[in-house]
Amino acid sequence: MGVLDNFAIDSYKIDGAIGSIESIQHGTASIGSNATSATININSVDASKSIVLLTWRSEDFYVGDMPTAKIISNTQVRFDRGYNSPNFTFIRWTVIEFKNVRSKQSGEAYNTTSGQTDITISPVNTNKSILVGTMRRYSSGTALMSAIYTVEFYSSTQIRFTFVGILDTYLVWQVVEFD
Amino acid sequence: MIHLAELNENNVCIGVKTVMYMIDDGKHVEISSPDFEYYVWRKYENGVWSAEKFEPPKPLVNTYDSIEQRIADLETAIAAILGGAGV
Repeated sequence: MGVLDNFAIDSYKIDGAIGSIESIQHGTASIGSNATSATININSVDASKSIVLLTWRSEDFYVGDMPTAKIISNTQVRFDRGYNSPNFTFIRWTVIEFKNVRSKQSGEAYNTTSGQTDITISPVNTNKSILVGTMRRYSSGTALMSAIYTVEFYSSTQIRFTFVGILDTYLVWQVVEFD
Repeated sequence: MIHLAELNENNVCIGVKTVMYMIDDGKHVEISSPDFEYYVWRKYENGVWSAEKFEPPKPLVNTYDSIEQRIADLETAIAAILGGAGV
């Protein structure tokens, strides 16, 4: 795993114009051929009030090219994918740092059930919360259905990932609850 | 906020999380940091984390691709039979 800091970052400091947003950063990253992770440096945020979003593509398509994203410190974001594919995985990411955060919860879990996993969290008001989930799988397959998933609040104390099958699957999630 | 490891039925770590409160379901234990790469697959016994990791074996093939390929092969065979019958 290397630190990739030579990619462009567009960073914006919000001066109160957008209610609950403190700062926004956008950038690019990639996971190289035969690698499974990449870590990028970002401008400093309060990780306990921030989320990372991503979109991605790969040169070809393996299910295992699909990346997960997590903020690992105030200045770093880590991307992982499930398979050491020969492809590059190209990522476009956004880090949003919020104001008025009541709580942020996050985690990473290995899936042990077919098709669905519920993850227990501390209680949140789901009407005032954002949920972001990403999934990666160990697979050299090319079946698109294996790369499709949803994530939702199943209750105030559970989030639910739904997907196809029971490939080696890792789920990365972030929940921010606002005041 | 506290950091927790989630254990499976064999007390092997299958996830980490940062949450507001302890989850008292018998499957979570508090840890010092949410370092997934460190904790995953380690076994928690008598208050101690194992040095050894108990990672399940990875599948050798993609099951769904294999099934899809078999279906495609069957469809090809059926089409050939039906096509042959119509001549």
